[in-house]
Amino acid sequence: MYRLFQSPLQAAWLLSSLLALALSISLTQGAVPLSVIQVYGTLIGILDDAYAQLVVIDIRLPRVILGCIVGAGLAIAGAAMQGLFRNPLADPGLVGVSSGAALAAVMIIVLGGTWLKQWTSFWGYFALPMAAFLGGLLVTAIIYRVSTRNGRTDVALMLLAGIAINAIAGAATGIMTYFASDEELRSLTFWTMGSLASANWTDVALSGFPILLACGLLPMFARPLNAFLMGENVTRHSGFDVKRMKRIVISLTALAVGAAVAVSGVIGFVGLVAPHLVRLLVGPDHRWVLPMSAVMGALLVVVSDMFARLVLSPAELPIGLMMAAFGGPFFLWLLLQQRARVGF
Amino acid sequence: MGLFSYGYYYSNEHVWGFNMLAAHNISLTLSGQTILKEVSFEAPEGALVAIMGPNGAGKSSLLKVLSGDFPTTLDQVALNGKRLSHWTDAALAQFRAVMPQSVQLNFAFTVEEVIEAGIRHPMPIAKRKAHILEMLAMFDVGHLHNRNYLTLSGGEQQRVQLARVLAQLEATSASETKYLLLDECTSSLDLSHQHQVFRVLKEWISTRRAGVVVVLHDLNLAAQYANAILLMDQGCVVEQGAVRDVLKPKTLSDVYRYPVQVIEHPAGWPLVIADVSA
Repeated sequence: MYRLFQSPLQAAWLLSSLLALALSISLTQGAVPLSVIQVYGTLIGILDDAYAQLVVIDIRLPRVILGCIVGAGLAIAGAAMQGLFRNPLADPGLVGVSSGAALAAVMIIVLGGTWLKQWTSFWGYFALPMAAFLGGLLVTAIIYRVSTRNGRTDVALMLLAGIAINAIAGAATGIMTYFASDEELRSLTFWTMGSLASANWTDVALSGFPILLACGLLPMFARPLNAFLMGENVTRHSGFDVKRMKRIVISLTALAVGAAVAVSGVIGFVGLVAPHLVRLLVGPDHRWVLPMSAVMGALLVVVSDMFARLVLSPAELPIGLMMAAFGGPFFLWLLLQQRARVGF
Repeated sequence: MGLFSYGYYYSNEHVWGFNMLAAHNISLTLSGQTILKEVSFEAPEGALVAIMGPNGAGKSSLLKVLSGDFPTTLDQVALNGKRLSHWTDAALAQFRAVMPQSVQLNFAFTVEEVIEAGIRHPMPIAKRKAHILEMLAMFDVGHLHNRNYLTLSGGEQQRVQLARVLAQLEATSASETKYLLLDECTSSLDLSHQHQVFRVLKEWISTRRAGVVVVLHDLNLAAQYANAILLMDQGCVVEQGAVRDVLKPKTLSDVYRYPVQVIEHPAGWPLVIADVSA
């Protein structure tokens, strides 16, 4: 048999336990040395230590939770996109959705006070996440439009369009750096490299709502997505409303990616690697792939972020860098294994 | 099989052709290329109709028109007396299933998951599993139910797809006459499995209120199993009717541009052979 787990439920339990373990370890690690007792004493409220309180409740806890949210959002978006494009290569980062969202965010940072003043005053605190969402949505729509003909997705076209969009977004982001002040420039670097370092409870609330929405709604489209893997016409003839499914899945994907990018910048590879790993465990059935990718993505981001904090402690690496440094070789290794398998 | 022989116009919703799949005066042009020209078609309940003709004759396009894949021709196709545009996808799926010529799949579904993915109708898990296994067994692929679909041979994949479309229709007890539209569903099958498939289809038609439309290349399979043949060439209907009336040496030689003889098989059906001596 070609799957690591015969029972998807077992795999789901394993992943959830690993995530819980990663979360509890991650809370004890950081630049400030705190003992396990200090951390958990503060967390459950039996220890009255103002300093530990500050570090654990206001810095570490929002950071790991944000890591979970962002990872889940990127991974479930990746899984849904791969279903929609009927191809395991579709990834929000690779096809330019993340960079589209990041460009929109960067535009708000740099031009928010001048050209885009109306936008920022209308949306207030939501100006940036809203822009990131629209940027992501626009790119997803363009990619889908360019690469799909007569209900078939041309993978080469999709990747080429992704390269073009990444180039355009990169150039536009580069141009923005010329207009940016010093402070804005630091923000820009944050968007392009990806980081959870500035995590706070506002970010958690801001990204939590849209990503939980996506995680809640996307699995409802698991069955049409399963049929969709055999083609658009097969899905329609099986009785699913394809147009509606595509519209909603594209919007939710863009929403999740936009929300993730809005609070953490561009973190690549999660959307590509997490669903792939889940398929190795339980196969391509979206009823399992979608929710389990979310858990897997959370796990990957929480673990990478922990290492990003530890490797050069007390300084820290951007998590995007971390993800690429470890995710890249790991993914290559996976692809080598793939040669012995048939299908994704 | 003249058009309008089974039903009558009487309202906008009920158009023509009760208990049949019918298409009226279909013309189709794709990027400047005429694909179909004034094609009319009907497949009544209880019949197996074969669409035949040389490569590029427009057989698959006609089947796509009949399955509603082209938005422009939706109003010229009627299913059980109502235009295709009248039905929702969900309603159609209960009594009409379509098997395309090829299914592109990149992901490693098991055979069972392939069948399940095509059934929208909710079923209790235990019943669903039994249903799927039963359908697979009908096409002699029951033993493969737990295999990676992508590791199957072309013929095995084809039989799994046949099981998928039949499973889709057998999952519901819709009161409508049911139809299977199959595009070259036996092209990769060996001799015995080709006949097995057609025996299953004939059996299905005779025990259900159902009709089958197949795009087919093998003239002798059609001669043996079809109730009617639609012979096409260059987007037009050349001949349409009972097997004996269509399978004539002159017609076939003209359409296929190759000398063809038709002799009588002892069991009583026309046997078509390419005339190598010519």
